Amino acid sequence: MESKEIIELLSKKIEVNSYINISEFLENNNLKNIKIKDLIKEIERNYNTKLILDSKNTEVYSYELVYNYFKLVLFKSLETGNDIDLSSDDFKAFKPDDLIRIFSVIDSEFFNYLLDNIH
Amino acid sequence: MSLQYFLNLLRDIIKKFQDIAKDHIFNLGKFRVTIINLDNQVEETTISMGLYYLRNTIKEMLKSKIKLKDFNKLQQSIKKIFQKFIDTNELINFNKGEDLFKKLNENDSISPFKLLFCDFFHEKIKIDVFKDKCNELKESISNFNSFKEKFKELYSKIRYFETLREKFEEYQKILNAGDLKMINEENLEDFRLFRSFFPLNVNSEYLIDIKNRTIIKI
Repeated sequence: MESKEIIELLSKKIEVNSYINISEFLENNNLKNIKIKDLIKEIERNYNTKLILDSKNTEVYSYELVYNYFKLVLFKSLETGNDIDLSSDDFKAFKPDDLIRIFSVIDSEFFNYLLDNIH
Repeated sequence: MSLQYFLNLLRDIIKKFQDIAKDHIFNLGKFRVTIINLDNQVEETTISMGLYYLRNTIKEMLKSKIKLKDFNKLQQSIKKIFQKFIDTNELINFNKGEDLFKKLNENDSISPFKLLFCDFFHEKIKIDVFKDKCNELKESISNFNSFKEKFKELYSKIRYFETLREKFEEYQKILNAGDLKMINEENLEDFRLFRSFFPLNVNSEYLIDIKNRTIIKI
């Protein structure tokens, strides 16, 4: 099976499960002799709007899971008045590029939301 | 798409926000915010200057390799500007009320759960249950492993609603036509949920026979 086909299968599972352990997924689907490095490269290169790898490349998350987590962290910080520290342990599961990319999207949306309510 | 693309997008939106805020908010210069610059220095300035600073920081970041530690400072300054607007009634037409988290989650322009608040679902959602779910998520945010379990559970239901919404019109036609044979076995559970969204007086003439997996007209 080619990397693309495996990732399509993995995407379908993630649509339901929100996240998946890569090794367990390969084992459960009897996918042997697969180079995980190649899979990871393919996900990072062509699927990063749907799938997010964790910082250790052991799990894959749905984009919705990570995007909504970051968004709700922002909502809570606005309610409590606390700061967000992206370099803290709270965000150690994520890669820096994903943090920057997804927070940029959420910030952009939040500026637009404020514009809807501006005097 | 590259990191540069997303940062440029953010910079453009900040520019738009700055222009509109300057045009709409009387005496914007009197409101001050605290920002953190890339050298870690904390500075109090006007909102306009704060927004200008954000754009300039992004511009600086784009000149070399984009680093998380720089973005972290930018994010902290952005959050302080958001906070200023959320907390200041003179800046926006916004009453944050007692439960800001719930208020934001209910808003259909930014909520992750906007589907639950759209048209026909809205009337049928038990608000107390939703509020409990919001609180469960809020409690779990400090631990991503716990959050992802709760999210998985909630999101699978939301996905199911989304699928159902696509079939909503089709089921309504079938119900109106009274051609119940068109609801086959694989659609029966969908149809049962669909029916539960309607007031009983519309559909009370139909029963679902779970044992025989059929719909019966009374």
